[in-house]
Formats: sequence, structure tokens, C-alpha cells
Amino acid sequence: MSAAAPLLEVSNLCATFAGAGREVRAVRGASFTIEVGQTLGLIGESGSGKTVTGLAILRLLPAHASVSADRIAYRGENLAAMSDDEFRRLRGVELGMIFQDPAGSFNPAKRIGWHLREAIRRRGGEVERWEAEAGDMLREVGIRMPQRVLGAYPHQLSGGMLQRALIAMVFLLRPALIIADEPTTNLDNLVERQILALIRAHQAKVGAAILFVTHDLGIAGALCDRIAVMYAGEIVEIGPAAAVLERPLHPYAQGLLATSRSLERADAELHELPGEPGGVPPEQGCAFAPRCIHVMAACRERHPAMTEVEPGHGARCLLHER
Amino acid sequence: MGAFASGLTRTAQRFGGVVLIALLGAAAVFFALRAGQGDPALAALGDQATPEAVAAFRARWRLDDPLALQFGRWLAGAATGDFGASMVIASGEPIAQLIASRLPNTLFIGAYALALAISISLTAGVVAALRHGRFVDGAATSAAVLGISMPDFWLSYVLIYALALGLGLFPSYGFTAPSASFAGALYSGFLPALAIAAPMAAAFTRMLRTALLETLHRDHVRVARSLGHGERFVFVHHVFRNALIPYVTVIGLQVRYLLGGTVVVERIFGVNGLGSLMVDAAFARDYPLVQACALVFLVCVLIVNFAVDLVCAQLDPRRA
Amino acid sequence: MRGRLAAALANKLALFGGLITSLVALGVLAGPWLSPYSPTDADFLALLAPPSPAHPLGTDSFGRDVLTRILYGARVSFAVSVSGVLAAALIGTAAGLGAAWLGGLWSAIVMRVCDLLFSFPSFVLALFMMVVLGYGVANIAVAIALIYIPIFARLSRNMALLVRDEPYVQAAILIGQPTRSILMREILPNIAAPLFVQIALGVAFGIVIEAGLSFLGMGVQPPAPSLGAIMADGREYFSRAPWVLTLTGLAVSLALLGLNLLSDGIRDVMDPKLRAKL
Repeated sequence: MSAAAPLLEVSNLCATFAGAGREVRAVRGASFTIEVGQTLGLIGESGSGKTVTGLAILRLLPAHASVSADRIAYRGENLAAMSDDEFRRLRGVELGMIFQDPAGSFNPAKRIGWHLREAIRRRGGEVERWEAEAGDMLREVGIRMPQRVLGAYPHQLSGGMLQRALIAMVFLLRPALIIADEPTTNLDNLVERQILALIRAHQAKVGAAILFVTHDLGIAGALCDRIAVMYAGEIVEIGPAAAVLERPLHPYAQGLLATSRSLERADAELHELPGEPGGVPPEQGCAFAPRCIHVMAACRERHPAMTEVEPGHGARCLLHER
Repeated sequence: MGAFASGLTRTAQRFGGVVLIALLGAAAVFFALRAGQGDPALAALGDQATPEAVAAFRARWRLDDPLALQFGRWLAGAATGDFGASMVIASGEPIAQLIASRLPNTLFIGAYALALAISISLTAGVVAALRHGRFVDGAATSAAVLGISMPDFWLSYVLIYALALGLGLFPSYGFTAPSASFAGALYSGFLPALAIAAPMAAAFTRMLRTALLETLHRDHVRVARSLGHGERFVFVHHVFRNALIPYVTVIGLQVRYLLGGTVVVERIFGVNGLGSLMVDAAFARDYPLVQACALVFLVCVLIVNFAVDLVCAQLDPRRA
Repeated sequence: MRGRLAAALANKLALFGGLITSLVALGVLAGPWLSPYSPTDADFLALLAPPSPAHPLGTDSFGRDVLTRILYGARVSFAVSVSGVLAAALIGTAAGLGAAWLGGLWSAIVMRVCDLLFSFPSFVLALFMMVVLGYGVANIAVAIALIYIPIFARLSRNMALLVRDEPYVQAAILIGQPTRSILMREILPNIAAPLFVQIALGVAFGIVIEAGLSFLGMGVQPPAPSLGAIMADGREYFSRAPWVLTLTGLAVSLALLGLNLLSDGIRDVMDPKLRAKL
């Protein structure tokens, strides 16, 4: 456990689902690192494998999924070598996750207070004064009447309230790494901004690292130190947030950015990526080749390797391979 | 406070619904029998009865009063536990006494069967769901399908043949009332209770297994795992706890089959219960007795369902 | 992997159920032509004969071939059960659809009547109807119908309320399609699968009710055979000739098993969205 070890190191992560009659390779060789206190944005269209990556790290995929990796290390310790029970003890208190759908994230038969109390108990905190601690945390995530929320059942609260309570529950466990899976997707703009602000405030306060899964480049730019772009289960570009957003290397990242800019300016002519997203990636060559405007003959034959173009900023594209 | 008060109001509303159904039931039972083809006088006196005897009988039982008056009189009596007197089987004896001596046996057998069905199905359902897709699951599921294909009276004879006549473990006939000896009632009531319980247990097991498997894939279960809660904690508080809601609901729906099952099974095993009393009354066409038995059975189901409703409201805050 | 295995297994079980049911149906329909014996004529040379090549399921106390009695008895049992359940399906579904469509007072009345019928222990209701109507085959069908009407009424009402909010039904209402054609063309086909499941389960349960009543001696009267009547008969000399009761019981179980597996199968191929809502 050297001091230089990153908080999380993932190398060649693969996740495969055995579907009806065929295998779906949802994540194909994802590699990245997250340093202590840093935020890595994982962006891409739906179905690109972002969420599965997060769930695979936490070992939360259903039984019909198989996961492999060369290395998944947390603070230098190899997670893959751990038994399920050993790994379970890390979950929540070291590696936490904020899920997409706050309404489904709580047990409908139990009060919010019960969920928070059990989270405190799980951390090994003082269960006797759970109400005070949970109330403080709810106030921190912007809930003005914590007592009412603690006594409420999930179906009695709005989506925004539930998302705040869910975030409070995850924060109560004080994880050093939080995987946030599109935590604001179903919320309106104002609530979204408030929630992002409180995540950032909490991060500044406790120094947690975040793996932020989103399809929104604006959010990623505002929140992240580094950004990884996923396409068809692969990370096609990774680098410092400013570099990726200002000088995208991969044609897919370039297209994504152009689309998002034209949306921001409400342009009459919308930059659209040609073709359909997702689908089954081809057996050989670059997965993006069928939709790429710079496609070359070699793209359909050779699978590009991750190439570092400037320090810490690389892409998986033959245009940049030497 | 407000929630508590509204909970009370809902309970009161539910209770009102129960009373309404009981009243409707009393009316339905009373008027259906009057509209039926049978003549109570001929049933009691025989087909060769003289007109004078029939007239005397009708006068004695006040059968010539207007129907509404007869119904009012009967209902007022029934509300205070007075069902009048038996016409045929135990002519002149108060029906309330007959029922009071028989009902505890039926309730005992019913509760016994329910307890057996619940313990069998809780075990089998949980084991099958936890070992989903494995051998135990297949065995439990197949046993359940076979179980619901075994009508209780036919199963009764299988049990008598195997466990009573074959192995001599249990008596094949006769029942010791729980008031005389509780242990004796548990022993002599085992086979009839099991005969009623087996198909119920099969139905409950299927329900519980499905509910558990379905709940296992809910988001909040995955969230609980992401917090690092132990498997046992997640299963008890997030899976089993929630699967109990449909499970208890189905128990409520099956009570009418369970109590119905006592009728034939009591006959087969010689249990002196309300079911066998009603069969005797039906054969003898003892109209007031049939009427009273049907109403008491109805009220039993209503009470159990009312209790199940309250439990469900406790289990499921969305339904409270 | 497990999901697929379960689906394949469920399909196989459904197929198996369909196979058993067709076999039983064949026996019921072709029974009289399958057996050389009479179901009612006594044969005093073969009293209580155990199963043998001549009498595969043995004979009863009148020397009558048990298999023949079962084949004829199943005809009666099935006829009673099927007619009772179909009547319940017709009346219950009509009442339930009416309640969903008209709402208000009609819905309240239908639902209270259903609550009432649903609150009688099933067999107690059947027994009670035997006293009101008298013993006999047709009256058993009436009792079965009364037991099953509330199930069909509730099911069809709840389903119709769900389907009514679907866009295609709303569209049909907006373009002014007449109510009757909306009910028949848009709603009924979409709630048919769960109704079929209930019919299969109901026929199975109806057989149990008929057998129970006849077993008590209130249903089909001797010497006419029905599954319950044969079992009641077999009970009398159960210790001397256990095959009469036991093998008839097995025949009942076989019929029920087929129907139960079949209804499980229909349920499995049902629209999962609809299934989740039930």
C-alpha cells in the first residue's frame, strides 16, 4: 500500500451478459484510475456501458452477468482477490453508489428514518443518537424539515426529496469513493443544479472521490477533473476535463460535443451523429467505424489501441495512432 | 396524529363494510331458503303428514307470518346469538347451543390447518426462492403443483390409508375436542388438518416463491446491497418483509376454500364440527339450522378477512 | 442462463399440461366408445375384482368395470364443471365489464354482490344451494357458477379499468366507436388471456366441488356415475377394495394436474406488463 497508489485503479474491465441466444458484451476492456478526492466523469449515450461499469466495480450485477478484469485495485489492494463477503464489508463505507431512480431506491414498506438509521448502524456509528445525525445530514442536503422526512414513507415524498434523502443515506456511510449514476436524470433543472451543488460541497468537505456517470456534457464539464468517453462498452477517449471538452480527439467525442453545443445555442441546424447508437459492435475493427465521418479502410480491419496524444489525454482511434 | 386518526377512520369504514356484507348475507340466506322449493313442514313431518299436522306445525313455527316480519324476528335474534330452535335434527333444541358445541371444533381444525399450511409454505417458499433454479426449487415447485391437484377429501383417504391404517401413527376416525384435551385434539386433529392444509400449503408456497423472486430484483434490494448490508439483513428486511404483503393477501383469499374444506373432511374423520352439523342439517332439511350454519360460516370468513385486511394495512403503508 | 432455463422448463410444463388435458378430454369425449363394458350393469361374477388385463382398474361391489365408470363419470363431472364455469365466465365478465364501464351505482351493486358471494366458504355455498335447489346435476352447475361469478367479475372489472386508460381505447372512445364494439373489439381480446387462466383453474375447482357434493351423496345420484359418486361408493368398501377409491382419486388428480399446468402455461405466455399489474 504505497502512498502513491491511486484510490481506484481499473484495468481491462469486461462485463458480459448471457442473453437469449447470444452474449451481450456490455463493457469491453475499460481502464481508468481515480485519485483521492478527484472526480472522473464517465460519459456516453445510453447503452454505452457506463452504468454497467459502475455496477461491475461494486459487484452488483445480476447473476447472469460475468465480470473479468486484469486488475481492480482500491488503495492499492486487489479487489478481485477478495471473497464476496470480504468485498461486502467495503461496500457502502468505502465504495458507495447513488442510483438513478430515487423512488425505487427505498423500500416502500419502510420509513425514510429506518433507512437512515440502518445506514448509521452499518457504518458502526452511534445508533442511539441516529435521529440527530440523520437530521443534520438531511439539513446538509437541503431538506428544511428533517423530522417530517424521517417519519415519511417513500411514496409520500417527491422525487427531488427522495433523491436528497438517498444522497444523505450514501453520505452517512462516509465512503471515500462515490459512484453517482446519473443522479439527476429524472429531476427538473432547478433541483438538478441544487443537487449537483450539494454533491460538490460535500466532496469539498470530506474529500471523497466521485465516479460521475452522465450523458450530460455540461454537467461533466462543471463537475469533473477528468472525463472518460464511452462508446459501445469501450472507453474511446480519456483525459483532463478541459482538454477533452476543448480539444476532443476521438471523432465520436467531437460529434457528441458538436451536438451538445448546437443544443445549447438552440441552433437551427442541429449537428447530429449519423447512424444509430449502440447495436452490436462489429467483430473486428473500430466499433464506431459504421458511424464515423473520418472512417478509413483500415478502421474496419484493425481495432485501435489507446494512444496518448498529449500528457494524460489519449484516444482509441487510428487517426491518432502512429 | 392525523395519520393515526385517518387510520382509525379507515378501520371503522372497513368494519362498516363487514357489517354490511353480514346483513346482506343474512338476507340472502333467509330469502333464498324461502324461495327454494322445499317445504319445512313436509321436511320435518314427512311427505305423508296430514293437513292438520302441517297447519299445526306452521302455526307453531309462525311460518304464515309475512316474510319480512319473519326475517326481522330472525335477524334480531341472530344479532343476539339466538338462532331459534332446530326443527328436525334435535327438534326444539336451541340452535345456538348446537353451534356453540360444534363451532370450537371447526375453528380448531381450521386454525390448525392454517398453521400447518403457513409453516409448510414459509419453509418451502423461502428455500425454493433462495435456491432458485436448483434441485430443491424444482422439487418444491413440482410438489406444489401436485399438491394443488389433490382435492382434500381424496387426500384424506390417502392419509388414512398410509398413516392411520398402514403405519398406525394416527387414529383414522374420531376427534377429541380441544376443550376436553388440547394435546388429544392436536393428535386426533392432525390428519384432518393436514388434509385441508396440503392444497393450501401448495398454493401459498407458489405465491410466496413468486413474490420473493420478484422482490429480489427490485431496485431497493440492490441499493441495500450497495450500502454493504449483509445478505441476511437484505433478505429479511428488503425481500421477505415485502413479499409478505401478497402472501398475506392470498391467505385472506384462500380462507373461504379452507373453511369450505372442513365440511367434507369433518365428515370423513368424524369431527363433530360445524361442517358436519351443516351436512346433517342439509340432509334432514332442517331449514333454520342450515340457515344459521351458513350465516355463522359467512361471519367466520368475514372476521378472518377483516383481520387479514388490518394486517395488510400494517404491512403495506401504501394501503393503510 | 437461469432465466432461459426457467422459461424453457415452464414451456415444457405447459406443453405437458396441454398434453394431459387433451388426453383427459379425449377420454371424456370418446369414453363410451373406448370401453366394452356398461357403466351401470352389474356383473355378479366379477365383484370387487382387483386390477387385471380384463379390468385394468378392477371392478366395484356390483362387478362394474372401474375404468368404464371413470370414463362415464368424468363426462358427468366435466359437463357439470365446464357448464358451471362457462356460465360464471359469461355472467361474471358481463357484470364486471358493465361495472367498469358504467361505474356508479351499478358498479357498487355488482361489487357488493361479489363481496357477498366471495365471503361464503366455497363448499358451504355449494351445500347451501343443494338445500335451496334440491340435489341434482344441474343444480351443482348453478352452485359452481355462483362460486366463480365473483372471481370473473372482479378480474374483468379490474382489467377493463386498466385497459380503458390505454391510448388505443381512448382513441376508440374519441372517434365515437359505439360502446359495445369497444368492449368487444378493443377490451375483451386484451383481457382474454387471464380469463382463460381462470376458466382452466375454475374447471379444475368445479370438478372438486362436484366430486365433494357427490361424495357426500348430494350430487349425482346412484347408479349414475360421476367421479365423486364413484369415490363415495369406493369409500364403503375401502379396506377390501382400495383400488376403487384410490384409482378414481388418481384420475381426478390427473385431470386437475393437466388443468393446473395448462393455466400456469397460459399465465407464462401472457403479456408480462399486464401480468405485473394483476
